[in-house]
Amino acid sequence: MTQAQLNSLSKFAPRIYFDATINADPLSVRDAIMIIMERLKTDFPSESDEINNTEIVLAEVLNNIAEHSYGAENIGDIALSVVMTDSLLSLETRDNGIAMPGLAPPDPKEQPLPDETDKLPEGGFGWMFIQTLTSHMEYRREQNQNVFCAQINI
Amino acid sequence: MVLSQTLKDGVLIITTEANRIDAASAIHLKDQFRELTEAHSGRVLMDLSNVNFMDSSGLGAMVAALKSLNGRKLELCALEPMVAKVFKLTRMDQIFVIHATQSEAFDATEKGTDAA
Repeated sequence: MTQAQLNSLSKFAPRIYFDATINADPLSVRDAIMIIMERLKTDFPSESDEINNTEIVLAEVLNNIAEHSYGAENIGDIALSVVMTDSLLSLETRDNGIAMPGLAPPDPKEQPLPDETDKLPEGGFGWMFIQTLTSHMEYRREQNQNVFCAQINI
Repeated sequence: MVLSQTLKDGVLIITTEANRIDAASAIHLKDQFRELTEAHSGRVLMDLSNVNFMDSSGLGAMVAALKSLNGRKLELCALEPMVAKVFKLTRMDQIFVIHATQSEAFDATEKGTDAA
């Protein structure tokens, strides 16, 4: 293949922003997100809404795995890859923790917030963010692994 | 240190020094907020100007902070667009008293618009 052919291929080929296995704890999750966001923001210095949404989605997906799949024990592998084309950002996670209940992501229902301050929810917002900020998401259990994919239109 | 404090005209201003209120810092924010506000019975204003990222764990800590005031309001100011978005998506922007800037928060009292 000539250099010219290679160049034209790389122009349309997906750009890989991140492909690594990280430990399922809040600080490792934060570090990975910061590396990915730095790379994304180099290509999208205008800080588009979609790029910002990516940061929230990454945080919710990875912290869900740390908290629920691995039971907040701060140990366990998350294989994460983030790939992007000109119009779509795609992320995939694989972990060896417990399966999602019902083998499906929770379906967050919008409920009115209670009037009493002490009854306000302190959690349960994560799936709502993922659902609202992605164009597509998918979960499957594959040979004792959880596989989660999500896409964000850029 | 996640939070720092100053007292101005009887208002306890709590400034978030951390740039990220996420799963890693949420618990520290919750605990420090409780410590700083324990002995104060007046208005509490939290300045979020340094915060450029907040996730659902961070928002949960903000709700816990509000609850620890036992019925008093928690006023917030200087929300970055990404932080404002998290409040808006969850409709928490209707639960907290949100001011654009610190000085606007003080103007609100002077004008008497801060109906208690």
